Amino acid sequence: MSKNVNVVIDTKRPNVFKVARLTTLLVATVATIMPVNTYAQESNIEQIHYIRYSNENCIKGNEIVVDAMQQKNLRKIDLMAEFDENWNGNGGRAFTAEAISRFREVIKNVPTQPKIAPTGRNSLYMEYRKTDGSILAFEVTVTRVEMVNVPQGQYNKATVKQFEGDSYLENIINGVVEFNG
Amino acid sequence: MDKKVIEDSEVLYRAALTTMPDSFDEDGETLPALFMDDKGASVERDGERDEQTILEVLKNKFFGKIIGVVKITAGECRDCETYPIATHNFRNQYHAEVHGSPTQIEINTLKALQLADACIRVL
Repeated sequence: MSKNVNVVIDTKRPNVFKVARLTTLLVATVATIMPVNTYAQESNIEQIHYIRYSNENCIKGNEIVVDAMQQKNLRKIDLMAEFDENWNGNGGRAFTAEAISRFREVIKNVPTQPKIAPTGRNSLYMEYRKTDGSILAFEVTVTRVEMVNVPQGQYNKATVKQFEGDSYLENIINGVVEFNG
Repeated sequence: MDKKVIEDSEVLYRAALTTMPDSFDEDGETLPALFMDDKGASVERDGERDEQTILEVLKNKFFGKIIGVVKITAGECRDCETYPIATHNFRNQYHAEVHGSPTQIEINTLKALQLADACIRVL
């Protein structure tokens, strides 16, 4: 499963020692996926004091926590919205506004962030993996959602469910919660 | 190479282009989205050529737009219950496609997952 990177911006507790604890790698990683400066400017926040890993969204006291994985996924979806016809060189269809809206809604509401990728058929692929080999995957389209659960990587025990209608988001969230245990 | 029949032992190569940057994750692992297309998955048959030759052909064919290439045998495709089919044409006698089944072109999510796990990245 992907690990979220949360950027914690604390305006009332300047603590330069926490900054020193950051590794260069961590800063570089976050810098590549998160427009931290832009966010800070937009939020009227002067300085980022520390960055930490977390798998949960939270707002505690003076801390503003940004789920960087969610931001990364949302930015990827924004890019998908700009794809032209034949974006993949194999006749891939441009994503409809309706599809993009649905993808954004899903990413904004799932409890943990998946790996995502556009497909060549106007859908979004989402994937969660556990260290024991278990896989939870979704294909999200405008009209339906397909959920595949592969326990311990055993494809002969895989289950496939399809959701249609307004309850698709609830079904996705329930599937993720159940998978995460 | 039989132009119409793809033997189980034959290796099929699928190229990921710069236009498909999410074919691999950050760790370089293949994502099923590489095989999720409404036209099935276009592949290059080995045709008794060595791998280096095939990779060079693919690189030339796509003018440096390749970000990766994966390979899988036709037998492994069939183990995943997908359907490799020879679709050679006047431009490329080695062209083939992997379909979801004999009656369905699209590869569903479960089968795409299996293909992604079974394939080996060679570039």
